[in-house]
Amino acid sequence: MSIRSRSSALTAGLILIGLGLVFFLDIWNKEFSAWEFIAKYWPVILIIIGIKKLFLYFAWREGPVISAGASQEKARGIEASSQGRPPSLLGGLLWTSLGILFLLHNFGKIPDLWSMAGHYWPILLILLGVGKVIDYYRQKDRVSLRVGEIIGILILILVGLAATRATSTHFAQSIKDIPWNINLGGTSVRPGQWFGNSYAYSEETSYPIPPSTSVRVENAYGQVVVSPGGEGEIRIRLKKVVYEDEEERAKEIADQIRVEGGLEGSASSPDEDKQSAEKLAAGTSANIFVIKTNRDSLSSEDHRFNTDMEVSIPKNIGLQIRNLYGEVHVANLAGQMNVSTTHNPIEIRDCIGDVTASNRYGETRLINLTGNVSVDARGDVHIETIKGNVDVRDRYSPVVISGVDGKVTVSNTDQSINISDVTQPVVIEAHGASVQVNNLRSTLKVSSSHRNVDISNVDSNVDLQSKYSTITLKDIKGSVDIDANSDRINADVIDGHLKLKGRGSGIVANNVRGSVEIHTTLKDVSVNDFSGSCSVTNEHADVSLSTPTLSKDGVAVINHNGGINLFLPQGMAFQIDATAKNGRVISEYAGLQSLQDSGENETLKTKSGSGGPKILLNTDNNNIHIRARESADDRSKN
Amino acid sequence: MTEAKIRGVPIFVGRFDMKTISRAFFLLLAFVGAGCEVENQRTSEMAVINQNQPLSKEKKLDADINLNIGSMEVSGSDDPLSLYSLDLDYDKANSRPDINYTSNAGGEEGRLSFVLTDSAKTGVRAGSQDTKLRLNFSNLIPLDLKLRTGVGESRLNMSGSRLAALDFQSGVGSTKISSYDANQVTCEYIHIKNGVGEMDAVGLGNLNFRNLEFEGGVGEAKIDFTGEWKQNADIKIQVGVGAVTLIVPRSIGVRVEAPKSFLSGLHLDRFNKVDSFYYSDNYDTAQIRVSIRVVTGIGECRISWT
Repeated sequence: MSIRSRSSALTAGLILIGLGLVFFLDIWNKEFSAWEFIAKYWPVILIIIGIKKLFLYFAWREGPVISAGASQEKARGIEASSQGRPPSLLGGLLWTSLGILFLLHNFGKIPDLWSMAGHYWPILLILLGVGKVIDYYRQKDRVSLRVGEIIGILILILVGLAATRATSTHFAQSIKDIPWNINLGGTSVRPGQWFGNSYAYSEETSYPIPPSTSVRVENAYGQVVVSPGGEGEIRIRLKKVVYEDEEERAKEIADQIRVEGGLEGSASSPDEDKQSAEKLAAGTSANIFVIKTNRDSLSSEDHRFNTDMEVSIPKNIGLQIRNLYGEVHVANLAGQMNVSTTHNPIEIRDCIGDVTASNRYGETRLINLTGNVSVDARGDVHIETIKGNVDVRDRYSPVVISGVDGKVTVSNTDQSINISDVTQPVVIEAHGASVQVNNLRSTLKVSSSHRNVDISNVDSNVDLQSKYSTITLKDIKGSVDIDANSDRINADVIDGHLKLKGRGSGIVANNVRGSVEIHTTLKDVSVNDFSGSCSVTNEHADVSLSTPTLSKDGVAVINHNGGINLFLPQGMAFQIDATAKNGRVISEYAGLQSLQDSGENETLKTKSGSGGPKILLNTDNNNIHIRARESADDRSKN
Repeated sequence: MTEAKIRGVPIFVGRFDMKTISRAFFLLLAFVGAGCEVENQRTSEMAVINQNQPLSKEKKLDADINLNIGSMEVSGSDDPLSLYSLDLDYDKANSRPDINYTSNAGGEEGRLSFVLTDSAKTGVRAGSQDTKLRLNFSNLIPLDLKLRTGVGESRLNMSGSRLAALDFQSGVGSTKISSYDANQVTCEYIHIKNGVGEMDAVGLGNLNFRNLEFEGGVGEAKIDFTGEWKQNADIKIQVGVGAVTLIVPRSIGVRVEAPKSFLSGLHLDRFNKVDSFYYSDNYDTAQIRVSIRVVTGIGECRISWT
């Protein structure tokens, strides 16, 4: 292995170890954000790559030509230092300097990196030239100009010219306006801060509040974080992020932004806020204390700012949050809650009261809540560990629910529903949404269409209404009732009965312990290892039954334009009445030989052994086959 | 890699040095990535318009919707008091909405016109990701719907609606059209023109249409004709560049006409060729029959059963 490949492995190894440690810290230390760390320190990777290249450059020396008779060991030793292309000084200088540049930018030492790049990018060309001159004196006739380097130079010039042009036109402002927020690990990351600055200011306000009053927090373009605080008091920490190039102007704007608090419908100047708050503290009746910013009054100005609010309220009071274009985080409260936002996540955890959440386009995460939960969303919904009932209405985004002690009602359009570990009944309405359900302790009712439905481990009855779906049922301890239209159904291990009322629906059912009743058309029916009575009707498709035992209620199959296959263990006692109009009755079962041909129909009507349960098989325009079923012993021998 | 000499200085020529190119690309990415800043950003001043037009004497609604940029959601509403409701989030610095509702003299025919124009002068479309239009049309009266979209994702959920006609043209972006419940009136025609992007249509059999024309531009398309078919229909499929999959219920009889093209492929299952047509094996016995004409450019068309 050459120095180059060894050092590449070393670099990759060090980077992987570093990344591993960073994510390890992220998992175990709540104060630490891996993404924030990576976003700040990623240029170190460039510096490492650059230093590695510089090391290779200085470690490289021109080696002798290896003769044909030289030993392999000697050849390998020489290869370690001199074989391959001579390393380029340019690469090392370029990567190292860029890494340092970006790192300084991330630490705020170079606030306007894009502008700087627009003005100083030709330095990179000069560095390239210096590198080549040094190469020439060090390596003499082995100096080369590689195709990749030429391409790199062209790209560099193009990007550099674009940067120069961009920083001198209003194009820069347009780029800055691009709202492509990238969500990395729950952190919003946005490209485009090359063109301007933002300045953050914070202030704190507090209001007294009696225990019987609920609180409403209103915000837009910024996050709202609510946590429990002292009794009788609301505290607000307002972080104002102002997007202005000049700090002085940013400060002027920030001074105009303030928090307003007061009774709902009251005036909102700061003095009056205090007065209304004092009235509240004195016990004057009031229902809702509203906390908001004065963004509306500044709307005529062309200010660009975010307002993040950290609010602490008495633990047991009711809370409403109305946010727009901002995240919401709530934890450890005990009052009723009504929360809404748009385009950004809501997270509510470890709370006791009922929760109503509404979110357009953002993710909703509700974790470890004791009360009932109601969600109306058009974004991802994640609900976990809920003591009360759960009601979710969602569109176009996945819903995941687990660990609910109460009832669950979910509707979803065009995405997916995943539910597990629920104690009380579950009702699902899924239009074009896939459904996955596991570990239910009570009943399940599903209405679905056009997507997959997977249901397993249900302790009670399952009721399904479905169209154009592929349905999988496994380990159902209760009964299963299906109303199907053009579905494909697989059922395995059902303790209760299985009833299918279908059109154009096929089914494969195995290990049904209760009775089986199937009415369908157009698609094949296969029922294996059933223990109770079995009744099947079908049209234009086949029916196949195989069972090790027959219940006293027997088997009845009526088909039209489809074949019938019946597999029974050899030596079983039963009565059979099989008729195939315009078809044949073919028996490969020992003891069933007598065929009565009455014109176009073939009929087999006889007993096997001493007789017993009745088997009625009837079809037209197709055949009936009666065959001996392989016993378990036969199968094991085979 | 071979080596040549120009005035004694060797220059490596031949294959591109992919390692170097990838490094240059990474460098470019790094340059872009340098601007990443971890902070909650407010980038555009968004404005919201919520409009609800009450249902009065209207017996029919014509809607002409033109959204140059942003995502769009259209669905039906069972609200007996609402003719339509409209929610628009848009970047007020760079977009200008023009919403106009009129009705004829008797008030029985309503007409909604919506245009959102993008006033950004540069090629960069500020606010494009956040501009969202949601429209709910009454399921109680017939709807003649004309939609034009520029750049952005579109979702049309016409379940339970009374769709009398649909003319939908999309520019760039994915499109999803669905109908999970039967249309309560006859839809005279459906015209879908898909520009660049994926197209996924589900349950179009529920739309109860007489004629459907699909023009696919660039990108894959899946058109699912499942649903409650009530009448025979004519379908024309034009494929530009990409693949189209048509999913048809097993109970429907299908006749396919497909002019041959050496650049394209036609995949049919359970069809018999008679003269220049392909007939499904259930064509003679099916109660509902559709005729499909497929014109393919560079790509393929597949018809499968459900």
